[in-house]
Amino acid sequence: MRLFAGELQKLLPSDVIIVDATNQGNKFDTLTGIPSLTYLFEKKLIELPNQTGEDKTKNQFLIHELKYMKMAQHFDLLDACLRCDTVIRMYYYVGSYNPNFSVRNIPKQKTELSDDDIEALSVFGPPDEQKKKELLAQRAKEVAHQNILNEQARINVNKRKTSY
Amino acid sequence: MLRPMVSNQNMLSDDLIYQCLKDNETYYDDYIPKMHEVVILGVDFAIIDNKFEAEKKNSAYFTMAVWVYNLLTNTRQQKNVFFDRGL
Repeated sequence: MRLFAGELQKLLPSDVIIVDATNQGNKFDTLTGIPSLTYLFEKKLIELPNQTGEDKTKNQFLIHELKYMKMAQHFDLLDACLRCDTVIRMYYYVGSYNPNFSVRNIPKQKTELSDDDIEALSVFGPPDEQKKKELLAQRAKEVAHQNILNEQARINVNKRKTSY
Repeated sequence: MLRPMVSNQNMLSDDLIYQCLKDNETYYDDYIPKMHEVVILGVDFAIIDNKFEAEKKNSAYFTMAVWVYNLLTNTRQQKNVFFDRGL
């Protein structure tokens, strides 16, 4: 995947960022693999929509896979979910629960609001707490995107070095 | 917290899954994220060399899950799921 990432990135618009989220260890590892998703279900951090009939049939596949992971027939839905979660763990996670089991040790930067942000917020009266939080989250997202691009640039430089 | 797995085949109990189902929401074909949300597509696919291996296991060749991560509430909403068996 890492080989294609640079070439694919050129074809896609700049909003779409490709991340190599392959699991380096065992797929069934309790800390980094599929069983680690149980934590998210226990804490209600995953939301599955369940309104129409279509939703229910889609959920049935996922629930069946969650319960009987190693049975013969499966659609690899959990693998795809794990890819999403590894990306969140690697770049976007900003909680107090700092997992030791991040796939790669990427330094997490603290995001703070700049003076310009606070000024812009307090134009129409005192700044609202909710708006402050939203702006902080937005800044964290931007920092994460920058981190991904920096890492991709680092990988590309290393690839060039090895190719000579 | 993380619990030790009793056996490899039973990963989760029913209660844990059903508490995450939301009756108000449906799967989206088109979703516009808010400023503090990130859309993440997780893709798992088999290359052509592994086609026979996938056929033997009767599993899908291409699977995609669409999650939206909310940085404010630290929740992951599953917005869509797609899988295909043909190349």
